[in-house]
Amino acid sequence: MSEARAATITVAPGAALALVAHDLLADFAETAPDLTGAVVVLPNLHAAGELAHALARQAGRALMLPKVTTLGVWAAERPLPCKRLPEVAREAALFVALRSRKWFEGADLWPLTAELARLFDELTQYGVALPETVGEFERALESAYQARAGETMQLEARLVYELWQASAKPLDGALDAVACYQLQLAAIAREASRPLYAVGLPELPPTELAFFEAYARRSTVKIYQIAGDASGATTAARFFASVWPPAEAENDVLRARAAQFAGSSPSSPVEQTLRFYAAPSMEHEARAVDAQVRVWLNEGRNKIAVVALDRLVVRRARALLERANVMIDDETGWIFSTTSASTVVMRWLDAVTGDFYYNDLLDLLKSPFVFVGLEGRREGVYALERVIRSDSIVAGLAAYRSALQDDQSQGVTLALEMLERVGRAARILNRDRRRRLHEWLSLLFGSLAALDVNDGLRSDPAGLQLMELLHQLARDLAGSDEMFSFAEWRRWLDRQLELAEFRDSSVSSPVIFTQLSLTRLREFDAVLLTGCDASHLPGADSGKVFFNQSVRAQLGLPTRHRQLAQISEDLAGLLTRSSRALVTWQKLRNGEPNLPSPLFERLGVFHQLAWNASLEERELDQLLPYAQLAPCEQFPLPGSTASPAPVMTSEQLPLRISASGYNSLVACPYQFYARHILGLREPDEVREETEKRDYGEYVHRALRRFHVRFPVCTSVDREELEANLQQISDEVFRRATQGSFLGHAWALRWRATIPAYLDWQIEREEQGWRFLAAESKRAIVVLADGASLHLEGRLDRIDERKADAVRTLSVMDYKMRASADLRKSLREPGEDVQLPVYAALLGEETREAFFLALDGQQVQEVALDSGAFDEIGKAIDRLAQIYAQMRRGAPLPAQGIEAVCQRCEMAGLCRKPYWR
Amino acid sequence: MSTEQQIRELNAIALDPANSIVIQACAGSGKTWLLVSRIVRLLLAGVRPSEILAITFTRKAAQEMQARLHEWLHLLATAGDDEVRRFMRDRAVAQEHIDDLIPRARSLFEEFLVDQPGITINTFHGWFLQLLTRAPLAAGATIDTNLVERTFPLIGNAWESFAEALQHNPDSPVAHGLNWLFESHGLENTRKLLTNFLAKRAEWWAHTSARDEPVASVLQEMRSEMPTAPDEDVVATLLGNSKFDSKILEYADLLERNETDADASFAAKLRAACEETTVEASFDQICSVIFRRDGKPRTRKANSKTKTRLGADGQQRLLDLHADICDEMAEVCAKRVEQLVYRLNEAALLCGTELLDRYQTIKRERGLIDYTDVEWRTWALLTTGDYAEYMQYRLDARYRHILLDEFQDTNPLQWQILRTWLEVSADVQSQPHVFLVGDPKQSIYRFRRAEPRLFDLARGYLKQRYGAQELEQNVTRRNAPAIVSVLNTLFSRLSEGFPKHVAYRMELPGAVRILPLIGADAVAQKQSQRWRNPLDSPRPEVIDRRRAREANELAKRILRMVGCVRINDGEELRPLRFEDIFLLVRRRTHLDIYERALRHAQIPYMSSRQGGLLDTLEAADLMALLQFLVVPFADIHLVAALRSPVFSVSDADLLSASRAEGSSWWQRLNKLVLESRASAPLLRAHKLLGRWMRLIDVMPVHDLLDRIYFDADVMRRYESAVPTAMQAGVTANLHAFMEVALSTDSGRYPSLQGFLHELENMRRAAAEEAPDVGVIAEGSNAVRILTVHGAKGLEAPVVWLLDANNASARTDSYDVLVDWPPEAAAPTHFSLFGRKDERGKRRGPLFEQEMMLAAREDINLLYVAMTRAQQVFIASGSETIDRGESWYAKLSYALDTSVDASNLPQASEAETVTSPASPLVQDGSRFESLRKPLNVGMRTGDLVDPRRRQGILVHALMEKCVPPADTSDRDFLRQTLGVSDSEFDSLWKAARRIIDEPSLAHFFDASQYLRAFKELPYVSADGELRRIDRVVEFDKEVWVLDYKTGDPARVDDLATAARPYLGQLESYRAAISELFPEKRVRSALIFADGLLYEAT
Ligand code: SF4
Repeated sequence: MSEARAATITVAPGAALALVAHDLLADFAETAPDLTGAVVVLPNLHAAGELAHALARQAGRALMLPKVTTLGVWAAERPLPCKRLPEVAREAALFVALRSRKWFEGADLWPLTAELARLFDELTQYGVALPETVGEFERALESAYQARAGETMQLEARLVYELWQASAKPLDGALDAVACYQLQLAAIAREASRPLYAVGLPELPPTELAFFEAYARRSTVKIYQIAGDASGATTAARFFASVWPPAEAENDVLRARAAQFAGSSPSSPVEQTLRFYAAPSMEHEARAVDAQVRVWLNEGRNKIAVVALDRLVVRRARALLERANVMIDDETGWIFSTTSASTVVMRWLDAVTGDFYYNDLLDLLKSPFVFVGLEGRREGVYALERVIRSDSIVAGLAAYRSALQDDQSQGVTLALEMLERVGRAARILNRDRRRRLHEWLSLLFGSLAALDVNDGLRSDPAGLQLMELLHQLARDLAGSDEMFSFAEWRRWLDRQLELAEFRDSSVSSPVIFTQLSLTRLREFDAVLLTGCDASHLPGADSGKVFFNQSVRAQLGLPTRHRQLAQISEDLAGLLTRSSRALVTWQKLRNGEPNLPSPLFERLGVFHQLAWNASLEERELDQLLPYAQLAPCEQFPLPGSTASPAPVMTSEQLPLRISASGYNSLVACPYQFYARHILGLREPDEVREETEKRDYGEYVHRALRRFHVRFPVCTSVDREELEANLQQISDEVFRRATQGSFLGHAWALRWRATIPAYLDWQIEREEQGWRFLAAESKRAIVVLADGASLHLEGRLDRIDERKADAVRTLSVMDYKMRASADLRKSLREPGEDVQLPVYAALLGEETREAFFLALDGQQVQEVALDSGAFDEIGKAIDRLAQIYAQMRRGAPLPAQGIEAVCQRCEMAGLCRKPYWR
Repeated sequence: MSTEQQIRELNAIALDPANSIVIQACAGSGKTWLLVSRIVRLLLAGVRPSEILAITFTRKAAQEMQARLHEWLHLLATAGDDEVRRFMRDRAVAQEHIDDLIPRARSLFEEFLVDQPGITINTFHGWFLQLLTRAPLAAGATIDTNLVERTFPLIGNAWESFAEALQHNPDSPVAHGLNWLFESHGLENTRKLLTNFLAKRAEWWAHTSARDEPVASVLQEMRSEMPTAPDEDVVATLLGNSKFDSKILEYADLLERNETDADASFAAKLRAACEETTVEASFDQICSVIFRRDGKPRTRKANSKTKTRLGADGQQRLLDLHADICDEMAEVCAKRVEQLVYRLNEAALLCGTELLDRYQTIKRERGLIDYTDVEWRTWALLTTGDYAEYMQYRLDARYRHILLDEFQDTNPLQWQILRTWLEVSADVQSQPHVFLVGDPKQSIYRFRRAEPRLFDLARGYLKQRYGAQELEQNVTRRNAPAIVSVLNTLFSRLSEGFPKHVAYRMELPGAVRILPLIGADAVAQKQSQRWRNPLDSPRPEVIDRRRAREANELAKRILRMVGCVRINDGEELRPLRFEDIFLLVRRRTHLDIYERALRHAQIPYMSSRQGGLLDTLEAADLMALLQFLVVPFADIHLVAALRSPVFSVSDADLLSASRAEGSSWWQRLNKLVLESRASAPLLRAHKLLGRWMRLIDVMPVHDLLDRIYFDADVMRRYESAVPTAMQAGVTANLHAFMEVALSTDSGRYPSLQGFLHELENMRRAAAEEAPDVGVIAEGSNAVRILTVHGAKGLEAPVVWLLDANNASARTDSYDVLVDWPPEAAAPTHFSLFGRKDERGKRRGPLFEQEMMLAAREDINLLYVAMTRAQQVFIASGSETIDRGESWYAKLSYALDTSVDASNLPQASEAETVTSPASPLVQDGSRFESLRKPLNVGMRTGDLVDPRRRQGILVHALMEKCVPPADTSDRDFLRQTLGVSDSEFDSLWKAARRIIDEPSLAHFFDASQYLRAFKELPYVSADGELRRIDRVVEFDKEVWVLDYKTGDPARVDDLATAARPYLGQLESYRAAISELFPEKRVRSALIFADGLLYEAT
């Protein structure tokens, strides 16, 4: 037996399992129905069901089945003779080796580490031995590149060579995964006793081939290889073989192949089963997938595969299917970083590193996984958010805490408790030195426990798997001693969450989302291939950093051709075995033409040449408009949008109005309604930087304080005045300048205005005016129906002048705007009633009202002209009249002019952009 | 020679693979046709796809080129022989070769699809990225660096980090520099200046790449060119000069003697000036005498009165002195400006480079690169050591043919890279052929650093080094003769050496119309009444009424044309549709006015505005809705959502809700519902909102949004609520918003809060970086509104240029001045400038050059606009204050001399139907079943149930540690299960409890049975695959065992625990009976603790 070799049997796609079943039954006729003496190796375990089917069909009776497995699973059952070096531990060591060589300062070394590990695995798998010395390796590369050697190439050679040498020495006897796998396989082969049947495996690397040969020395081995042109192939199988012949072979040109095929097969073998659909947009593609799947379900098909080449389309389609309560058995999984379970972990790390930037903190606290045990935690978060917004706090636990301190509202106690616990968790995650990866992880676990996240995550499927993943990593790393900074660890963690996938294995459904490589040997009632454009199928070469294709070929590593051949083989098999298939892609993407997959382009041309028929799907477009699920609840559709004009009852109208409210009423009655009757205002937003309105605030505040200290300036030394105002301003602006260095810009801006302001102030006093006060005033306007309306205003500043025992008053409003602007707005005093109203409120002694424009190095009065000043009474009369009208039921139309609407926050309510 | 013949001859040269070619080709001449034809010819000649590199300017153009190439190769593979012959003949394949080439032509398509690596058709950036990913490791590891297209948030971060560093270091030179900028120019301008510096980083790097201390050396250079030292007190020098002093005094004397009031006051001022305490004050005084307000010197002329008063000599002396003082003063002023320029540069370069540093660091830390980095790194890659040569080896592709499209849009850095590449290829003996197409007349991307002058340079270079042939193609296949004739008149006047264009389709009817300018309103604009009552009379818009009238005119004419005018669609004549019309504007500033008019006239339109999606009302509605879901006390968001078509709640309902009790609107809504006082729409809103609020925790954003669209029937409701003119656009935008959610949210670490924050960032970003409005569905019949830039590469039967009399007069401020002569390897000048009046004289010529280039580009824009029109070109505008010669003025000049009034064919009565036929002629009833839910699939277990997990693990463990083939290597077992030590212990115990249970010993002790199978797979006769945990065969009987270790069971009540499994167990038993026909088959469940329950 020792010279026996593995037998290779070629078999047509779609016929492989039947053939194996047949051989098994024949080989085990004696022990039947007990086939447990055999081992069948499949490319994936999903195909086991199909094999069982085939066996039962042929045997016509119940059977005890052989061991059905994959090479990987089988090998893993073998205990190891040595220690295994977990992948993460090996990468940690490689990383440190790279880091210590200082070749790439400042770069993130993890991706490079992973690439290296991948290359080394390939070298092991393909049994590539590197030459004795680095010099020889350089020369080998040189000739493979057909290039002159240079420093540049030397670095590549040295890097690969040195690290390969370093990693080839096993760490205290532990071997990496690929090496272990080989040992395990070898052990299986050594003890081989059961006949082995390997079916439909992809092309194998030499080490796996060697396994079969070794196994064959002790027991029979039959390897079933699938080939489209094998004898007994169906027309469809031959069709695909002819469409996508192997690249190595000398092939006829497409046209000749098509003609030849048509000669032997007068009708197309796929015309009834295969259709192409080129969607004009992503939405269309997703809708097509949704509709087609449901059509198939309605037809009674109960094993439908959706091959997810374009993840976005598939996600969209999934949502559409779920509208119709179609659940999905998803074999593709979700990358962990896209689950909200890992969001909470990452947001936590963001929050800690970013001094609890408000948005990170709120996002963290709103996560459903945080503080799950805390009763009413939402109230707490909202309380915190309210304070953050109203006080505009950007970051810092202490700042949040102190702002909450003097707040009485609901939820504050909870908010404080959360902050307390967040602080505690942050202390656990001490970031100030290098640690081992698993130490970082255990600090992370500790801090998450303090946030009560663990329980939350354990109640979520993805969260549970995430925790298991992280704990597994920690265990794998237990023996690794390399030290890492927090930032390095963080990037490592990012990568881990990027690599691992969450799978929901609990759904059983006739609709299966899967990957092309998982469909080998499986049979479906219908198959939908999505995203079949050039960028997804075959897709780009997964960027190999080292070498190029010809060097790889020279070294004996698999090349791109191999990858491509595998894909077309998988496709051919899948399409041969499926009785219905739809291939979709987007012919336009973001309005740009998008090419279909070259595989299907070839197929389309072949088909057309052979039978002059197109495979284009035509029904779907007609069906789509009707295929959308009807909404569950019927509700009358809205009519076309018109400009609103609500009507108020008199009790709905507030009998209190401010000058700015009045202004709003004039500018757009609807805006007034939204602001002052519905009581809506723009929510506070956190302002990360000082803004213009803060600036106005600050200046007002500074001037108010200054004039309280110096009601009269002329009596004081000019320098002292300036110093004082400057000092007051510094204090007032401190919040801005401490918040950010950019705040200095505002402080400096005001500083430039100060001298001009003092000049103006002194001149004003020389005219006899004296600062009197800044205050709020109110007046009562009696309406026609006897009701009284309170009109209010906050007057920035009132000055007084006494001459001949007659007192006159002046009212002003500080504005941080250019005087020209203000002048323009005062040209129509009826549209901006602030000054008229102030003047009216201040009473009869008032002689002037003006804006004081504080802008750059200029301070200018912009006064209400005398004509307008004489008319201030009209402002009040008009208000009374408008009120009377509104109380009688006059509608409040939305009618702002463009300039007003542009700055209006109520467009969402009045819906102006939609009016006809 | 006929046009046809000319073209044929040109093609014969241009498409010959043996030639290197530079061709200047006018708009509409079929550049893409030529380029793709050349590729086909190359392939026909046996060139491998991987040997071809084609570069064009936009991704869209590259995609279109690809598509065209595929289409043609497809045709060659499938068409009849005659057609293939014709195809080759059209592409100037020599007649004698055609038949020989047919087999090759036929095989090209497949070869092309299969060849590895394939052809490269890409943008410069795309190609550079390709190079970078293949860059040698020595050039710095670039694996896993991601390209960022949205740099706005990163620039924001750079500012933050910059400010923070200064906060800790407030006395550093950089901090002082920044404060100086703040003080002299304010925050906004400083920001603008430094951000613009950042935008020109490539130029900065190129300018300083050879310098050790970039900032210091640039400043040093600047100082050396200045007439004075930066800190010299030039005023003091002048005023301290006794000669100047005496001139002033003498001048003052003469002025006094002149006896006019003005001169007297001047004299007084001059004398006062001498008394001033500071030189600055004196200087200001003198300035006010010498210069007018606008800074120009006062003019002083000889006149008879002065002559009488001062005598001829006196007058002459006065005039001389005046001129003299003016000159000296002006010189001082000029020097002072130069000093200011210097200070600005000093501060801004210090700060700018620091900011740039931060920006680069941030990207490096996050593994990101931006477009500029891509260019710069590629440049560095190809100009450092032996990298360039190495790259030639390292790429899998070896380019032997390089094709360049739209070369006028190339920037100097790209050209440098390209040239290096070409030179290195020559060094390694694989000098490629080059085919270069472009049209400097269509260069409109100066703002993206395009340099049209490169075209001539490249032409010269290729001619000299590659023996490239120079060609010119001025035949347009696009524009009707009517348009071409105006084009020729117009541009012959505007640009020197403009080659006359020739229309290819002589028969194509066309027209050019310049509508009369809209003048000021005939009736003076109605002033609003001073105290108007807002309830009765709205405030009149003060916006430009002229534009509004232009817009009305536009709408009117469109309605008149559509359906009436007939246009040529390929070979066919058909009535004009809305979609055949492009409205072009220079800038989007006043678009709302035109859109309003279209809406009013019910003309469907689509503004393809870059960015802008998030500014639309529908996007705002959705954002408000989502905002409310995360921040339930944000009242205005809730109310906006209620008012939106999602709920269409009326104001009356809002008023009623506003009066309900509660501190937030949501609470009020709850209250109303609770008290059954809510109207139907409010009730519906309450129900749906409540449902969605519960979903935000469990659903990703996209899925949530999908639920919202579905639950609330969003699409249909919007369709019904918006004006017809907007429907297509709104629908497209709703889809686009969904796509944003989909792509943003499938990004990493999703949350609704994070998504909204991200949207906020996008909204604030520049238009190029914000999400675009939706692409309107194919075949929707709508007028398209575009900027001229946006229309590049497109064409339409009717093009209307709006607001054409608005000459652009934008002056730049706070930006960077770069002079990069096309032939130079790096910029020869790099400096920053602030206000218009502080630019300084020294840089005058450079600014002039900039202005010239800008003017050139303005003409190019007009050229691009006009050449978009196939048949009809219309321009309109309104009277404006004259700010230079507008497009309108230029156009009307051209029309005066070449009046064209050829009329377009009109549609017959029968054809004047404006609405397109409804696409839905089908009867939808047969799809009725698709409108109902299906309820398919089920959940088979609870993933998070700890007992389930325990059960599965114990099960797995048992399977490994019972015979046959058992192992008890604990470490191996623990690793296989992937559990911790402690968990393993408990699992181990649980498993052992069963295995070691004496009453079960006969099942697990190999000496007590004949055979045992674990996890025995069997298949029943009807093909069902099952696995049985354990089957044990004895002499007379066979036991079927099923582990139920995850279930709690009590000794006294095993029957209850077993009940759910008995059916399944029986089916196992039956199956095994079939397999062991002669033995008795018994079955049992084994629970935790080794409790056994036999089924009977
Ligand atoms: S957007 Fe304009 S019309 Fe609407 S409420 Fe605001 S101001 Fe009034």
